[in-house]
Amino acid sequence: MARSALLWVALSLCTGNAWAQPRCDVLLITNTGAGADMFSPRLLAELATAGLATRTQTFSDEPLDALARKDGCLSVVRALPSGKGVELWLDETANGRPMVRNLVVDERPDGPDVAMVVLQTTELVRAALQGQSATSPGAVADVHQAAAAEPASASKPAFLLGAGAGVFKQRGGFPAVPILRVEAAWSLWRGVGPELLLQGPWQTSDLHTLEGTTRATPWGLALGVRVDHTFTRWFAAVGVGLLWQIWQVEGFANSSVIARDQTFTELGIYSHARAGVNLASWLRGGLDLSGGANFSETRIAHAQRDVGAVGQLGAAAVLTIEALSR
Amino acid sequence: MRSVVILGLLCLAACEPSTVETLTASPACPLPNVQLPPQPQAYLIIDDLEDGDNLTGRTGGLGGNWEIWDDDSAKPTASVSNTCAALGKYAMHLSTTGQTGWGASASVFFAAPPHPSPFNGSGWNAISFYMALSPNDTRPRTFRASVSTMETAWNGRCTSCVDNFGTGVAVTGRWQRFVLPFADLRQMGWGVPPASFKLDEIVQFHVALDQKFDVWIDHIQFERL
Repeated sequence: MARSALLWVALSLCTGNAWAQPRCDVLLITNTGAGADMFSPRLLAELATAGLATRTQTFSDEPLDALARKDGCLSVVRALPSGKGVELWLDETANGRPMVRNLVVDERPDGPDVAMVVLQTTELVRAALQGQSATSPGAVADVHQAAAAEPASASKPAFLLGAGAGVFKQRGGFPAVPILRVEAAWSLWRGVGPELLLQGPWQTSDLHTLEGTTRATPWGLALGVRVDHTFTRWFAAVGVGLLWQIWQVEGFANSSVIARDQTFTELGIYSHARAGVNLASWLRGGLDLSGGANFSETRIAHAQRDVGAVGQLGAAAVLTIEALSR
Repeated sequence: MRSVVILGLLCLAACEPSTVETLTASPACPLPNVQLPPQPQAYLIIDDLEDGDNLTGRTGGLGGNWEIWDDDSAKPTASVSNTCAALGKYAMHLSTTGQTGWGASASVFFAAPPHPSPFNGSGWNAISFYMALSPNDTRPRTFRASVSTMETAWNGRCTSCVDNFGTGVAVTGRWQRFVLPFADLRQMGWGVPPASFKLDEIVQFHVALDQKFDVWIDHIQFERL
């Protein structure tokens, strides 16, 4: 339920479909059918980066101007059925120019250069809307802001911040523990870059015996390398690196034994794999499965009796939400 | 190269397994019991020591007390202590610096003095207790735990007495619960005259200690298994 609400909020934010009739610079007609177009996801990202308020709509073959009027948008972009480019409708009447329909097509035999088509289309829309400063004050600031920003590019480094919640279980007798995770990753080149993950429990993991209880609180800090790839609607990522675990263990005595608390650290390695869905050009959600092992294990004893261990093989499953910035 | 060496040394140090003891036994006490207490059909606590004295309970016909017998070569000490316990807070602590004769023994009489007096134990078919060695005396060994009757008890109907009905219990530095079903208890064979185990006139619970001991006993009870 909560996840659905989050998804709805994210989609609303992304498409500009908020409660207060937001402005619409571009209406992007996406083709999600069998012949899914390869331009829409990147167009969505580029238009957003250019500061253009973009609304998405599933495929419709209605005339572009009709679609624009229906949604009150200043321009409409739709992929051509040939898959070689996009058609673009622009309302420039405010500039004293007629409404125009453009085609941005790349006819090369080995298929279109998607990045080029996307950049040209974005530039056409941006340039056209820049001329409407007198009639659309909201757009002026956005376009100027976009012009001041770095030009968008498929190879531009991307920064990612994420958070997640899940469950962590380590071999050694302690029960599974619910965890929260925050992370940061930087895609430096073709989706490859460093990542930093911090993981902590929101409940402790208790191991009960007749002598008493050991309460374990595992914290984890991981630094590694991530390889990230975005498909049209999906993304996948894998990471590997060094794991530094901090264990707080507390004893609670049942009878004539003395309880002790201790904090110690373990060094290890981890890897993880993640897959999910692109909720917007800047937001995505997924499921992350990770595993790790420490270089050594720490045995837990109750009054000279071995009752468990930490630092052995462990695994976590975490639902993640990530925000990207280019 | 230097970094690699340092990293290697760090790895070796990290790979060393270690143990963290979050619950530690008191240095003066046996290690705690790790067996779940069984649930007998019925039981009668003879003495759990929680009242801090050397008298048994006063219900179910009980009315006895603890006694320590020794060979007069050294003076054993017996005290109800709250330092260590198998259950609750108190247990009986028995120790000696070293007997030179037959040793010493701990007795719990069921009925009120004078001793011996019979106690009707026919409602029960076992006796249980906790026992452990002190950390000062951790050499595991077997002690003979027994139940006497009017035909075997000291000053009872016997000419060669104290050949009680018993069995050996292997005691260690960790508290253990021992259950002695009456049907499993046997005389050693030197008592005169030979006796039969008459449950309606049992007299005492008896643990024969040796020449040097430092032991703890707790929570003695009759059970119906």
